[in-house]
Amino acid sequence: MHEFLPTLARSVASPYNLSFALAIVPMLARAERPSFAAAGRYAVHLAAALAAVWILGTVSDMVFPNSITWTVLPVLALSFLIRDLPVKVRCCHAALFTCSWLYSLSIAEAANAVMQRGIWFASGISLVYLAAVWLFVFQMERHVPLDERDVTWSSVIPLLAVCASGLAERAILILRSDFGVMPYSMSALESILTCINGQMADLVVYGSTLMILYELAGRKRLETEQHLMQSRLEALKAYRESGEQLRILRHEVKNQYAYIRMLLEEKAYDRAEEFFNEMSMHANPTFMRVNSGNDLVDDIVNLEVSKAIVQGVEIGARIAVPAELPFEEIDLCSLLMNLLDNAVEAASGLPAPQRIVQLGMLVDQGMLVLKVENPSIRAPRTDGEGLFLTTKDDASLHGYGTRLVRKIAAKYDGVADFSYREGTFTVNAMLSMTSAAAKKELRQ
Amino acid sequence: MIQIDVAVCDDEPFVAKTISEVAQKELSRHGFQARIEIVHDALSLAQELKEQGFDLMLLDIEMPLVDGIEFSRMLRGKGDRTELVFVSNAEDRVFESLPVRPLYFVRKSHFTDDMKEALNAFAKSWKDRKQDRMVSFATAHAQGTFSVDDILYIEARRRQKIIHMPTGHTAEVTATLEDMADELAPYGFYRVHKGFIVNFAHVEQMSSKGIAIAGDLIPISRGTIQDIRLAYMDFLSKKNAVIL
Repeated sequence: MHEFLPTLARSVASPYNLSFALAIVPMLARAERPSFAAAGRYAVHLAAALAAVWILGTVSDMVFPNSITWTVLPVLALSFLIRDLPVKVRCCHAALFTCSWLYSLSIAEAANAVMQRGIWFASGISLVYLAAVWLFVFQMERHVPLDERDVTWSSVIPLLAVCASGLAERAILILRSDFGVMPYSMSALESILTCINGQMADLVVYGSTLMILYELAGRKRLETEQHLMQSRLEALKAYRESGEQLRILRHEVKNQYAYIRMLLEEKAYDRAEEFFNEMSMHANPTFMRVNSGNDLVDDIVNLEVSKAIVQGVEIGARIAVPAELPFEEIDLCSLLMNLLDNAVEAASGLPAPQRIVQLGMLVDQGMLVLKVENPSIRAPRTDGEGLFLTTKDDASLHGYGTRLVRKIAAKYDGVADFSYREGTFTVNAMLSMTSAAAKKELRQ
Repeated sequence: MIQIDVAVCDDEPFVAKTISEVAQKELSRHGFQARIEIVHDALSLAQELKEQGFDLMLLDIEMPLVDGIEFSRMLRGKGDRTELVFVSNAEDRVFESLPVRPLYFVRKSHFTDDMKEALNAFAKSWKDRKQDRMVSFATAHAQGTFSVDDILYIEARRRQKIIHMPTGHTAEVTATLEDMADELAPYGFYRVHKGFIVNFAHVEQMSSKGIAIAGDLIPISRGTIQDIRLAYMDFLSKKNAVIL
């Protein structure tokens, strides 16, 4: 005990420990907007960090002097204490921080050895260094969903491995230099270069891991979407078959009318009446709701119209497109179904007179242009890339529709635009007919 | 009150009468005093046209002998630019009707609402037509005046600035591309490249390869391709406000 207290006092007085505590908190805590509450949480975390580094640092100085345990122990303790981040992310951050901290110490000491400005200056350098690392990591993570679900342990192993190797290097260097086990000397330049090299390796490995995770997440989303579309396409096929039957039926009815007309013209009223009675009125085809002259578009829109009616939503459609469009069926289908499904869903939550979705679609000057409008009580949320997220309950489906619409538009050298103004959500999309025709030629 | 001449052509006398009554009422809301001529087939309308011109024609599509679209095609073929509105049940023929540039397509199934929209569109186009669509740019010797509709695109070749017009005509101007782009922006022009300003109204095709206008392929800047597409989409939407 008589050793413990003076060591603790030295530990408390050391500016290095203050730098350590100041730097580790942002690494382990979730980034927040500045506010009083956030500042409060930061202060609590800071206090914990100071306590951990003072007490555990002192203990480790007494048990394993001149080793890196005085860094490793507080980091381990704090990563258990501060539970803001998912466990794998915490591991990555803790490993990155430990390495960066040791590098920052070496660099700070090397710089101080040259400049001779004292311990406060050195710990300042180390703090600045760590702030830079933190900023870098924060930037890299901005667009990556580091959700527990998407991240497996195997994906964080490369980073942990490279950090472990960096730590081993530091541990050996520190032991060697302080104990003088072997004659050891390293110039300031060498020391700094080794540190930078190690730091680069850590960050690059982490960056690549994040990039791979990002790509994987994107691919998985697209797969889900395509899967979803496939099942919708099946439904459409079934519907089109029934539509085909309707067309046949209509043709039959037309023939029957012609026959009756003929009978009437011949003034064969008895036979006409007889025939009329025989004719089942149930055979009357239900008239199609949209008739643009393009069968595929009509079928898709009519299917959506009938689905919308079930939800009490009316779809008003104005369509002027040629009988043949050069786009792939699944793309046209995905595009229209996505837009209309989302619009109908948003409109269905409103009082009856407002439940109207407007669809406009035409071909002009080499482009297919379409617009879908629906009333919506609140503005949809947007994600980091300015994509609108749907208000769907199933979180895994968030934003898929808009992403897919953009993807299809981009495929045909086009563009999609989503906007919300005065209670109306509007999607405009444009697809190039030229580009679609070229693609079609390639396919054939 | 502005005096205008309107023709209504529908083979059903009752329908023709209803159309003319509704048109009369809607037009007067926009400050027009309409003299309406009712005919029941396209040939009578052609006969009528020999005697007088019209500011607006409301045509049925499916009529005996000559149908409405066919008739309009002949009309446009002769260079007639009368505003046309189709009033029809034949919704599947909307696309077929587009080449004759109708102002609107009134579906008989949505008669009241569509008529209102159609005559709104007429009033708007009447106002727009009154606007001046001329611009003037400095040339080497004097000031050159151009009708904006006759400009296909403007090209900067080193120091030269060349205005490309239909049938291969060109004119050289000394104004800067920046200034011309600013002045022409309200008329649906867009700077698609450092060296090119394009009149969207004349674009035939647009893809990643570039923009096709009157047989020429105009390059587009990679960096701003998204903005160009958005602007073109906006242009097409405004132009086709009837449907979109």
